[in-house]
Amino acid sequence: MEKAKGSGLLLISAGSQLTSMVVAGFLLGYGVDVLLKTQPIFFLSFGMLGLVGGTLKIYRILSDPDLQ
Amino acid sequence: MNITVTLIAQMIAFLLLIWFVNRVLWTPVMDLMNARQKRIADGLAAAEKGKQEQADAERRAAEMVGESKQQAAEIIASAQRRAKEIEEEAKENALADADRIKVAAKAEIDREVNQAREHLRKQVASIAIAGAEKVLKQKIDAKAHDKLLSDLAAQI
Amino acid sequence: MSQAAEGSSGGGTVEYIQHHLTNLCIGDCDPITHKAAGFWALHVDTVFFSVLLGGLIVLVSARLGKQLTEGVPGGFQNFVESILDFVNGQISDSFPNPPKIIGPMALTIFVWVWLMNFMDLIPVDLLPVIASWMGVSYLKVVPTTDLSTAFAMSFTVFFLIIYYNFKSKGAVGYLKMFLFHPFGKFFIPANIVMTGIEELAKPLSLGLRLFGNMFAGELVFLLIALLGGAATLGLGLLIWFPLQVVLDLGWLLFHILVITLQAFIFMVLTIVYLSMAHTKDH
Repeated sequence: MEKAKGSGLLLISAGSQLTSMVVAGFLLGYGVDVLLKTQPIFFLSFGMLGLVGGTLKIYRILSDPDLQ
Repeated sequence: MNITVTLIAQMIAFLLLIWFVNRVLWTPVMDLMNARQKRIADGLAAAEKGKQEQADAERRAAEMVGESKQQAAEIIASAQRRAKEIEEEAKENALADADRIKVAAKAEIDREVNQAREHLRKQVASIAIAGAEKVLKQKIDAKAHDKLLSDLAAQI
Repeated sequence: MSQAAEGSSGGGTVEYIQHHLTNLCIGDCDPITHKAAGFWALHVDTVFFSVLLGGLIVLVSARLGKQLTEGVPGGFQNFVESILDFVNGQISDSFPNPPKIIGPMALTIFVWVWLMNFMDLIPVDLLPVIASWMGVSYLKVVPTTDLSTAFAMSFTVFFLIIYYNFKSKGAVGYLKMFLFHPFGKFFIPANIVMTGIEELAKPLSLGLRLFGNMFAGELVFLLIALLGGAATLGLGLLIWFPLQVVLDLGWLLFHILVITLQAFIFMVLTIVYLSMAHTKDH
């Protein structure tokens, strides 16, 4: 699996990765909610997913910068 | 709402700016830098080539000098050999000449010795005849005793 | 460095800050707060300053372009070349064979963002006061403190990420990345959402980081400017004014670092995201 060499620079983004993933989750959930008129369900669940994913991602970035 | 038409305007501005930067700044300067890099690389390669050529020339010159040295040495050696040969020849010739002269001289000497002896013998014979005449007080007929006398001379 | 607050609004501190953080809006704007009310609201000051700075880049580089020499570069050409070299180094560190657009884009981001951030270092009241003399009542000088600017760039990058994902992985490969990426093939619905979030988080984090840093920096400048404004009369000025100068200078010096760092981070992350999109597998 060939990875880009400069992926180590992703460490720079580790700080804001978590926040932006949570925000992205909320945004995506909000969008789906508006589409399906299921107000808070997807908003919350996607937000949670974003939080979990963000944490995981941070963990991965910090433990092995080459594996994004 | 913070996402407004400003976003679109800024996007267009951004894309335009990218286009301009590519046109005016990135491409010319990059081309320039690449050209310069290439020129430097070419220069280095040329210098390297020149060095190589110089080394080659030096090597060739050294080879030539070595060759000519060897040739000179060969020439000298053959000349020396030739000189020795000539010397040897001359020596041999001289020796042969000397031998020849010696032989001739010996022959001459022998001949003269024989001549002298003959002469002497004849004289002795005549002396003996004279002596005998005196002794005999008579003339000996030379003719009569010629045979006797030549025998005598042969014995001496 | 900063003028006192009384030049523009004169009201309370909140009002002062509010006023400074309000764009010059035309179109679909709220008449009272002067904020954008709908989609069709254009922040003239943001567009004006960013286009101005973009024009400056083009102008300067066009003038430079006329006197480029292949020989020993002069002072300014040397400076520009070293910037280009730096950007190019960053790109070739992450890309095996970068597509052509990356170079100019990264350079544009770096220089443009830096210049727009640099507007932050101009005394906060200077340009708005001048503008108010000319009859412009609202002016937000720093384009990167407008979320639109930050998102304009980050979403352009986002579109490029999608484009290169399609180009290098193919539609199927890209779909596969959405279906199977973080958790394997047994969590396909979660994977779709997760990868979607992840991809969306890239431009969001890019834009929010820049916006947040610049907004906060601007706010601190405003607060420092308020220090002097809070005590315009009397003995208090003797204490507050030197403090304000020291603080302002300190934050200014620190902020030079921040704006450069933000421009650099934006550029580097753009390059890294695009190089990730450009690889074949995921």
